[in-house]
Amino acid sequence: MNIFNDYDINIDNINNELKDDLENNSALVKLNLDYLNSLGINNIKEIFKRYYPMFLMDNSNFMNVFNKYDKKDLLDKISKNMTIIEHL
Amino acid sequence: MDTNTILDRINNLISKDSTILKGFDDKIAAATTKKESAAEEAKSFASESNEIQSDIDKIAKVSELSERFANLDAYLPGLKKLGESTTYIDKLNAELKRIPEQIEELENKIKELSDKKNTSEQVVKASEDELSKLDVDLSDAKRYQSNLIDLINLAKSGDINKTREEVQETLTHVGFKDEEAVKAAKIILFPEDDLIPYFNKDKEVKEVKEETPIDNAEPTEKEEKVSVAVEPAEVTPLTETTEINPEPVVENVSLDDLEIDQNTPEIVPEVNEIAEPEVKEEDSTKDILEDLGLDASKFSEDDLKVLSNTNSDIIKENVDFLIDKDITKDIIYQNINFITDAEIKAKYDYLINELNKTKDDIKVNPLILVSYSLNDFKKLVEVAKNTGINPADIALSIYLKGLQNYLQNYIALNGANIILDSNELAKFGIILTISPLEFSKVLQVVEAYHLTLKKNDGKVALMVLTKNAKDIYSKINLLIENNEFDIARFYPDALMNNVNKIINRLDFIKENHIPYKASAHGITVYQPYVFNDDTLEHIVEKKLDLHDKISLEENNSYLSKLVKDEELVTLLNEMAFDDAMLAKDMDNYRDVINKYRDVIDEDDIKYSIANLSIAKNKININLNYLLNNKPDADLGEAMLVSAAINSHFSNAELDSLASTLKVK
Repeated sequence: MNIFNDYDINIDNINNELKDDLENNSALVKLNLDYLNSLGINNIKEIFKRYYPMFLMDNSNFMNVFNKYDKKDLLDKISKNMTIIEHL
Repeated sequence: MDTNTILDRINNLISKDSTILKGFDDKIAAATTKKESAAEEAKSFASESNEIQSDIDKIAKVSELSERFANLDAYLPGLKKLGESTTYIDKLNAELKRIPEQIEELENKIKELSDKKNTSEQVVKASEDELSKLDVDLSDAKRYQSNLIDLINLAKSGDINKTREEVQETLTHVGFKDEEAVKAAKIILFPEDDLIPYFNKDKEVKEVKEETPIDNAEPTEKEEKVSVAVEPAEVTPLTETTEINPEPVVENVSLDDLEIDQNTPEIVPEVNEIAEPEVKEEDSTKDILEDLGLDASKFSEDDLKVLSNTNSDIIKENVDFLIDKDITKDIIYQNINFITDAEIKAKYDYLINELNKTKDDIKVNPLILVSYSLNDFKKLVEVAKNTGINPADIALSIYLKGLQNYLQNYIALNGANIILDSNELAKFGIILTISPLEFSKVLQVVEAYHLTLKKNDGKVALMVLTKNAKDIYSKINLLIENNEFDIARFYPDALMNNVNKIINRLDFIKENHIPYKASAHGITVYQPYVFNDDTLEHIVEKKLDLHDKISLEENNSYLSKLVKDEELVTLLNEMAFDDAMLAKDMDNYRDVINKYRDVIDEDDIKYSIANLSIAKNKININLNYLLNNKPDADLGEAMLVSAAINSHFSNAELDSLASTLKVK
C-alpha cells in the first residue's frame, strides 16, 4: 500500500523525522486522507503539503475538525483559502 | 569496545538488572527522599508558624488590655502613694508597652518561617516535577528495553529482518554512542559469529548454576542426567504486565510436566525423555491457539515457548477481545504481548473512556496497547495534565513515540514565549516530537531575531519549526538585507517558502512603484501579490519571468577579490551551523563594531553600513567566528566579509561597502 502515490503526494522534501512518522503510520494517514476525499475536498494534495502533520492526528479528532461545519460551506471556504483549516 | 564487552552490555541492558533501569531506581529513590524530607520540613515550619500565630493572638488579647491601661501613667503619681505596689504597676506598664515590639518580633519570625516553608515547598514541587520527568523517561527506557529485547530475540532466532539503521536507532536509545552502535549493530545483524554463541554459552552457565538439586539432596543417578532449560530471564520484557507473572498452564498437563514452572528450573532429562514434555506443552499451546482461530505455525518457536508458560485464560480472553475490536491477527503474530498482556482490556478501556479515543483510532494504532503498562500510561497522562496539556488532545501516534521529546519541546516553546492554543496543539502536536536537538536549533534562530512566529491572524506558524535551522537563518538575513524583516515578523509562514522568489517579486514591485505594504498600529500588512506569482501577474496583466539579480556564488567570488585574505571567505562558507550558534554567544565582535561606530547605524535587528542593511546576528556571528578562528585577521577585511558573505549585494554595493570600511 502506498497511500502517498494514491494521492499523488510527494513526501521527499519534508522533515525527515516526520516523514518517518507518516510512513510508519500510513494506515492512519490513509484513513484521514480518505476522510477528506469522502467530504469531496478537491485540493487534498495542497492541504497535505501545507499541513501534513495534521494527518497524524487520531482519526476521531481529525474528523471532528471538519464535521462540525456545513459541508457545502466548508468545501467552498477550503477551496478558496485552505488556511481556514488552521481556524476550524 | 570489544565484542565481548558489547555483548555483556547488551546482556545487562535486556536484563531486569539493567544499569539503565537501576539508574532510574536510584534517581527516583533520591528524588522521593528529597521530596519527603522537604515536605516534612515544610510541615514542621507550618506547625511552628501556627504556634507562634497562636502566641500572637494571645498577646493581642493582652494588648487590648493594655489599651485600658493606656492612661495608667496619669494615675501613677497618685498610685505611688500606695507604696511598693506601684513597682508592679510600673513593671506591668513597661511590659504592656513592649507588646507591639513583641508582636513585631513574632511576626518577623513567622515571616522567616513562611519563607523557609515556601523554599521547602518549592523543593517539593521541583522534586515532583523531577519525579514526573523520571516517570516519563522510565516509561521510555522500558519501551526501548522492550525493543532491544525483541531485537535480540530476533537475532537469536537467526532470522533478523531489520535494517542496519533500525538496529542502530534501537541501540542509541539504550545508550550506545554512534560508533559503538555501529559495531554492536554488526554483531546483532550477523548473530551467528558472536551473539548466538554468546547467549548459548550464557544459557549453559545458567544450566550449571541452576542445576542445584531440590532440597539440597545429593543428586541421584537419574537426576545427574537432567539439564535445565531455562528461558533467559532477560528476554522477558520488563513491562508492568510481565511482572504480573501469569500462572503457568497446568490443565491437561501430565504429572511429569508439573516439573516445569516459571519460578523453578525446568528439569527435563537430557536424552530421549527431554523432548517429550516440551512437545506436549507446545502441542497443547498450539491446540489452544488453533482453537482460537490463530495459525500456530505463524508463531516463532521462542514465542510458542513463552505462550506455553502463559495462563491460557489470558490468551483466550485477549484473542477474543482483540478480534471483537477488529484488531487483525497479523499484529498478534508479530507481537505476542497482545495475547500475553493481562492488562490489554483495561488499557483499551482507559484509552476509550479517559482519553476519548475510538475503536478506529486504536485499530490503526494497536501497538499502543502493548507499548506501556496501564500504570505507566496513567503516569504519562498525569504528567501531560500537570504540564497543562489535555491528554485527549495528544494523538496515539505521539504516545507511541514517547512523550519525552514532546514535553521537552513544549516547555522550550513556552520558554521562548511561543504559546500554543489547544487547537494548535491537537492539530500539530506531532511537530513537538522532533528531536529536541533539531527543534532547539530552529528555536534558537527564532529567538535570536525576537520572532514570535505569530501570524497576523493570531495563529502560530508552527510548520516553520519543521524546517532546517540554517535555511531559516539565511532566509531571515535575506529579508533584512532587503529591508523586509516585517515579512518574518508578521508572515512567518513565508519562511517555509522560497524567500528568493519573494525578493524577486518585491524587486519588480518596487521598480514599478506598485504599492505593496502598509503599516499601522505596529503591524505591517503586505499585499497578497508579494507572496504569489499568479496574483502578481494578474495585477500587472502579463506573464513575468523573475530571476535572482545576482547569485551567491558570484557575490562571494567578487568578495574574494576585494580582500587580500581569501581564507576569510572560505572560513565563513565552511562554517557549520552548530559553530555559528556557538559563535552567537561570544562577544569578540564588540571591538570591531566599536571601531567602525562612526560609519554604522543600528537598530534592534540590523546594522546600516553604506546604506546597506545587514542582520546584526549575521555580522556578529561571522565576526565572532572569524576572530576566534583567525585572531590575526585584518579587522576591516573580517568586517567586510562578515557583512557581505552570502548576500545579494551588487558589485557596486560591495565596492561601496569596502570603501566605507576602508578595505582596498
